[in-house]
Amino acid sequence: MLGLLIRKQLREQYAGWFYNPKKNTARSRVATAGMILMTIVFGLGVFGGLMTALGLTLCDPMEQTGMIWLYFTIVGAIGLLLGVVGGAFSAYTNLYKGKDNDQLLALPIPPGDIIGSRIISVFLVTGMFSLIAVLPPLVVYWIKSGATFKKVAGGLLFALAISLIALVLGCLLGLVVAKVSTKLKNKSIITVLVSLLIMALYYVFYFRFQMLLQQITRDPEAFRKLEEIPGLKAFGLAGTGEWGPLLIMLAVTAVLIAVTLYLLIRSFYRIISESAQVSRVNYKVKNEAQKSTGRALLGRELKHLTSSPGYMLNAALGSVFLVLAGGAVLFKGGDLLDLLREDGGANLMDILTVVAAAALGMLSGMNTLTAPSVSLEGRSLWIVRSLPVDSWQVLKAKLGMHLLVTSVPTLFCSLCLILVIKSDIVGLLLILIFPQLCVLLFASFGLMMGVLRPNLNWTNEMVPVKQSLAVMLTMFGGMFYGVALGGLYFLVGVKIGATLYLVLASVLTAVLAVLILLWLKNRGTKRFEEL
Amino acid sequence: MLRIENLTKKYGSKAAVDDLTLHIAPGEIYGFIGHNGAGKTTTLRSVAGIQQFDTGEVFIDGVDLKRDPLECKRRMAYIPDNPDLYDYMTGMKYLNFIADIFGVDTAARKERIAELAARFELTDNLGQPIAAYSHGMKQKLAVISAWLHEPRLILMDEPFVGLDPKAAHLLKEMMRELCDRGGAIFFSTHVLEVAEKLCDKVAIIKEGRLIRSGTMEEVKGDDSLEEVFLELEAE
Repeated sequence: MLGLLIRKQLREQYAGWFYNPKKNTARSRVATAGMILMTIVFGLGVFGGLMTALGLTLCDPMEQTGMIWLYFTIVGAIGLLLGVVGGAFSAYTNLYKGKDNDQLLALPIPPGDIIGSRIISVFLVTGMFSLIAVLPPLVVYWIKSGATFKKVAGGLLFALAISLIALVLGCLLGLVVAKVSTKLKNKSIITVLVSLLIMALYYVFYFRFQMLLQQITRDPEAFRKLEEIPGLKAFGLAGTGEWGPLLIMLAVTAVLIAVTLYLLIRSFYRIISESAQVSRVNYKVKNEAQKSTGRALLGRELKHLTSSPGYMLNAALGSVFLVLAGGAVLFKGGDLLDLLREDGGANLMDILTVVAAAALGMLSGMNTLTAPSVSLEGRSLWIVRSLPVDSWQVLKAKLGMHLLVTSVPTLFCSLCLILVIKSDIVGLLLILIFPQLCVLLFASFGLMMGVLRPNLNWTNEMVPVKQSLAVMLTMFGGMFYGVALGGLYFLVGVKIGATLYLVLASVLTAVLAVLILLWLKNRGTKRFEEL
Repeated sequence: MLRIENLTKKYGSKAAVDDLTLHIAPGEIYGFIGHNGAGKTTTLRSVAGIQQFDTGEVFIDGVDLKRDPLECKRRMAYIPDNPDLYDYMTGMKYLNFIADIFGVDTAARKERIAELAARFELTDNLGQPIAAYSHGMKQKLAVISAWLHEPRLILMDEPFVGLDPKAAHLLKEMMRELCDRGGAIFFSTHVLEVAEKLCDKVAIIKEGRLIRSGTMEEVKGDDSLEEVFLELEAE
């Protein structure tokens, strides 16, 4: 039974690999293999590349100074962080908010099997992020220090344990959110706040740990103190294949999994039943002011966003970071600027302007609101298709939602930067304009991906929001654009000057955005109408 | 009111609707019957402008659907067989959204929502999220939203499924009222007794092709609609 449910879950989660929405047919085996390969190459290429670089930088010096356990502690901590961040926000929705809850509970299926198949679904996210973080540095270690059976087997078990611990943390967060949300009225907002609070605590812990690591490089005494932290050295040694620490780690992981499974299975039925109950709201007649079609469609998009914690946390988290970044710039930016001025060259302000504008533009790319918005129409797509609105109006509303949610915090962050950097007028304008152009480009690119790669047949909203090809391509597209602009700067920008380079980058971004918007207005609307 | 000329819609090489021609005049309730997969839903979705068709023409109140789909949609309403509405909205928000799209002014929408919701005994539930609605309640909400902008033509796919007897009776009354005011109804159903009692005209579709159509008397003669339908299906 569990196997059947897992197959169903995988089919749904990775529908894009097996089904071609354009032709409305199943993909051939070759095409499916190609899609899977592309996903792996993207994943390994971007995150795996970064982690390989980290491994190549740290492995040799740490092994030579007898700190190899710390190497694996760092790698393991990053694996946990990426796994939890990657999966925790979707764990609640993945575990409890399936549209097929009633259907599955009505069948003779033990609740344990239902939750089991959904845990696998969470694992495919948390595990994927953790393994991409842990495996490349592990391979670097094997190559640098010589691969033995002990190191390889031990390392693989260490990677597996990390991914399972990330899964446990993600599922427990999902359980906490589910327990809290069943007792509240404004479930969506509270769920988002609780998730952000837990995430903030995790970040605080993580950054404290990072600071401690930095201290170690300067102070050997701190390294000894670190060694004394219970379990930390054993955690790292497990990665080297030391059987003792590894067995303890595996045993702890097994216990954590058992306890988590027990808690999830025990509470599943009750949580599903309670979350289906809705507190009674007595309707009071009131006058609703008439809205224009555009505002009504925009309101519909915003209502969908604010009613879905998973959508907000996964697709609009960039807005939170933008506000936090703006606050950090206001409160700490001045001190940092003074420090930089002491060592900076003549064109420090130029470079700072470029870096600030580019960083802000890329940060705004964290929001992927438009990419899943077409898929999220799901089985309700008939409504907008049957109403007297043209498809471009519908797509414009999706763009409008992205711009509204992203542009305002981006503008706030730009203003904070302007207050601190005090660049010349061109620089200030660039800090204002370039990030906004990036917002427009990422919004339209995401929508284009959403139109080209829709998945309307989901039973869990997190599938289009988090695991769709459209979202993945949008995220990687944004990253690629950032890396490409950064690379071009070193090739061209250093010769023509930072400000002129940013002006040209702004023009390029604007042109790309306009081209995509034109595609959306013409071919995009036709594709939308064919769905 | 509705003119369908030589409508053909193919899925791959298979024709779901094959050269269908139907004319529905103002004041007519037109029933559309056929076995599962005969092409009823495909026809209704094509006429509603939800899906594109390969060949043929559709005119709503004289307006060409292909040339001016938005004007056509302004004059009609569509209710699908399974009303997947916006779960994230309350019933009231949904009705206001529909009213905004059709440009129904504040006073008119207030009056119509109050009247229709009261008739379907849904007023108390309008503040609830649609996610909490039963199938029947969603169906009632879909009916209210369809009637909200006073369309000339209403297309309905199995409209009585999920409705309680009182609501089903009310819907039949409303269908007749709309047609008495010069509107028209085109709906599919498997409940042949309902079609027999309610419809002015009926069309039977089999494997995408229209096999019989006309007034109820022309189609069934002295037999019951069920007997005629089963006989035609067996051929």
